[in-house]
Amino acid sequence: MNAADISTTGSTRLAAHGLSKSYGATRALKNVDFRLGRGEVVALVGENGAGKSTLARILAGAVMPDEGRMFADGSPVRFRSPREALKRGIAFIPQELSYPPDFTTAENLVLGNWPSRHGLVTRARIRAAAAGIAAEHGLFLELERKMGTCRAADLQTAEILKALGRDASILILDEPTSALDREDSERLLRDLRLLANRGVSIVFISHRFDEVASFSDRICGFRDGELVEDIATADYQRSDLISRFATHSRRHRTDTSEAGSQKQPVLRLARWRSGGRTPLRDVSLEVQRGEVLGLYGQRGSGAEVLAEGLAGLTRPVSGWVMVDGKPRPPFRSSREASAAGIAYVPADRGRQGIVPTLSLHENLTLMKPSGHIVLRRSAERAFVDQQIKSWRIRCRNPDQRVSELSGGNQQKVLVASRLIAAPRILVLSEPTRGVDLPSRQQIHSNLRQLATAGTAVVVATTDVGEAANLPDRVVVLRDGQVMGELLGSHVSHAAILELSGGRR
Amino acid sequence: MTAVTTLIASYGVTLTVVAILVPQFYTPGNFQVVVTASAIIGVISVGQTLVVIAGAFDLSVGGVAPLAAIVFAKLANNGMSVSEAILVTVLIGLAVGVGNGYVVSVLSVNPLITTLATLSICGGAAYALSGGLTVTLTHPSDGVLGEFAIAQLPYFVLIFITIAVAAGLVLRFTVPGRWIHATGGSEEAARIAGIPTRATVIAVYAACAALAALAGLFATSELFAGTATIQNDSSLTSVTAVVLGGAELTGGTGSVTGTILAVLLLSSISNTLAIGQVGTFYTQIITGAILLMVVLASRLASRFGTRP
Repeated sequence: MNAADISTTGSTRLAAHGLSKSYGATRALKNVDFRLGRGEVVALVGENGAGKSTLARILAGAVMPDEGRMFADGSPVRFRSPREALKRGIAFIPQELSYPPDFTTAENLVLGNWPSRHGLVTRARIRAAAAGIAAEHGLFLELERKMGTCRAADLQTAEILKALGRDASILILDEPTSALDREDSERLLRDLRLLANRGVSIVFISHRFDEVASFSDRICGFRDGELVEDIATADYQRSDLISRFATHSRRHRTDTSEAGSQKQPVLRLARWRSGGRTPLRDVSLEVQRGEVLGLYGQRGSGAEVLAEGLAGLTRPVSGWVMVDGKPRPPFRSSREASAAGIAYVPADRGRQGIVPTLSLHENLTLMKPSGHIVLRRSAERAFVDQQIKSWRIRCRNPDQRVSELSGGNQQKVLVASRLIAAPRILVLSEPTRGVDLPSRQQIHSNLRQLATAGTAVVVATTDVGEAANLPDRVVVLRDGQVMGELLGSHVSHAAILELSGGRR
Repeated sequence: MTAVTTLIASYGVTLTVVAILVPQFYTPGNFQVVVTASAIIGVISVGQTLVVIAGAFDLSVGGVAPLAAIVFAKLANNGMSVSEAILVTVLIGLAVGVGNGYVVSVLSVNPLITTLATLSICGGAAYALSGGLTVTLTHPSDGVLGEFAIAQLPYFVLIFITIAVAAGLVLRFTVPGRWIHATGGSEEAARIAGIPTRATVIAVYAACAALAALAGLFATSELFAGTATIQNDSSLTSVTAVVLGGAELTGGTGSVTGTILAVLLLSSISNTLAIGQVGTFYTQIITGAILLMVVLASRLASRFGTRP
C-alpha cells in the first residue's frame, strides 16, 4: 500500500470515486465519492430511494456500478458478486435476513465453512468452532438455539459473527436496527462499536437520528442519488440533523379532559387471555371514537398480539369484546373483525401487507373492489386518485406495480388501502417501521386527521418515539399485562419507558 | 405486455422460417390441423393459467384428460345421451379439481405433491377402466363436438375460443379475477385484506380440472375413440405454455393471451417438424430448448433492466 493513502483517521480500507448507477430511467446514484477508514463507523442516512441502499450494495458487491472506481486497501477492485467482495473482507448484512430456521446459531455460523477433520463434521466440532469465533470477537450469542426461534437482535449478532468468522473486516449493514426495539438496538450498536474499536470498519444505514448521532463517527447524507452531506458526527448537533429532515413542528396534543369527555367507547375488550409464545394475561382496554390510542410495548410484550387479536388474526383463549355496547366473543377471523368495522394494517408490510405483483391501484382497492362481479375501474379511480393525493404517494401512475415504489410509499399505500371500507376502528401494527422520516410524518399526520374525523385509531408500536409523539393516550404493556396508561400531556418518552419498566 | 410482444415476435420469426423451409405448412388443411391441436392443449393451458396466476400449479391435468376420455367413451357406448355423458365427465373433472384445491389450500399440502398424486390416480384409473385398450365410440352421433362447425373447424374449437375469451375477461375485468391475482401475488396479504383465498384456490383448481376433462372430451370427439394416453403429456406442456406466455411460477402474473400465443407457437413447431419429417421425438427436445431460452431471456432482462 502506498503511504500517501494513509490519512489522519486511520488507513483507508475502502475508497470509491465517481460511483453512478441507473435503473432504467431512474438514476439511483450520481457521481458519489466515498471513503471508509479502519475502525470507522459511517452512518448512511436519507429518504428511501435517496441512494444510500444502492451505495451500500455497490460497496458490498451486490450491485455493479455503471461508472466509477473502487479501491480496497489501496488496490483497484471490481466486485461482480458479494462473494468477491467477501474475499476482500467486505460483508453485507441485508435488512431482511435469510437463514435456515432449523439450524442452530452455531451451525449457521459455520455454514458452508464446516470445521472438519478427515472430512468428518461433528456437532462438538461445530460448537467449538462457533464458540471460538464468538470469543475471538468478544460477542455473546446463545449457540444452541435454533435460528427460527431467535430474537431479531440475536439474528443480527449471528449474521455479524458469521461474517467475522469468514475474516470479514468491513461490515455493511442495511438498517440493522429497523426490526429491533430500543434496548436491543443499543445493545447491537454497542457491539458494533466494540468491533470498531478492534479495527473493524462499519457502514450502516439507519432512519433513527438518535442512534446515528450517538453511534457513528461520520454521517453521509443522501438526497436524490447524490451525496449531499459528509461530515464528522462530532460536528453535528442532533437538532441539526432532525431539522434537515423534519419539516413539521410538533402538534398540540389533545388535552386530558377533552379526550376523556367522550363517554361511549366504540370498542371495549375485557379480560383477554391467550396462549402462545407471547401470552396476554387479563388485558382490558377501551377505545374511544376520535382518539389515537397507542399500545406501547417491547417485542414480546403482547402489544402486537393484542392488535392481531383486534384484527381477528390471533384469537384470544378467553375474554370478550364489546362493540357499540354489545358484548360478544373475540373475533375468530379477519372477516368478523371487519364486519365490526375494524381494519388492520399488519406490521410485516412485505409479507402480509401489500401484494407486490399488483398495481398501486389494485392494492388500494384490494379490500373492496367496486362492483359485485364486474369491476368498475373508473369508479375506483376516484378513490385511488384521492388517496395518492392525500398521502402524497410518489409514483409514476396508479397502474405502476406497487413493488416498484419505495418502502415509505408502499407503507402509505398499505395504510391507505385500509380506508376504502371506511373503518370505524383502524388498528395498525408498527405503522412506520423502516419508513423514511418524511413518509413517517405524512403517515402520522394523516392518522391524526382520521382521528379528528371520528375514526378510532389504535397504534401498536415498539418505537418509543412513535408512542410518545403520535397518540392521545398510551397503554403500556409488558409480559402480556397492562402496566399503566398515560393520557394527554402526561404522554412522554420518559414516562413511557418508566412504565414499561425498562430503564430509568 | 413485454412477454406477449416477445411471443408475437418469436412467433412471427418462426412462421417466416417455416415458410422458407417447410412451405407445406401453409395449406388450408394444415391450418385446421394446427388450430384443432391447439384447441385441445389450449383449453387445458387456459385452466393452468388460472392456477399459476393464483400461485400454484396443477400437474393432474395429464391424468384427468385421459380419464375423462375413457369415462365419456364408456358412458356414451353404454347408451347415455351425449349431453348427459359430457355433463357427467365434466363433473368428474370438477370433483377432482375441488379435491386438489381443498388439499392444497385448506390442508396446506404442497401443490406439486398433491397434483402429482392425483395425476397418478386419475391416469391409473384411465388405464384400469379401459384395460389399456382403445374405446372406440359406437354411435356416430357421439362425436358431435368433433363435427365441423365452420370453415372445417370442429365445434370444440369454437368452445375453446369462447372459454379462452371468457377466462381472459374474468381475469382482467372482474372481482374474482382480481382475487386470483391477489392470492397468487401474496396469499397472506390477500387473506388479511379479507379476500377468500381458500375459495379462490379451490375455484381455480376446479376450473382447471374441469377444463382438462373438457380437453379429454374434445380429443375423444376428434379421434372418435378414447384411450388412456390422450393428452397424458399435457401436464408439462400446459405449464410450459403458461410460462412461455409470461407467467412466473411464483404466482400473481400471467395472461390468457400470452398462454394462447405460446400454445399456437408450440403447436406450429411440432406440426412443422411432423410435416418436415424430422420425427416427433425432436419436438420434445426443441420445446424444452425454447422454454429454457425464453426463461433465460426474461431472467437476463429482469437482471439488467429493472431494479432488484
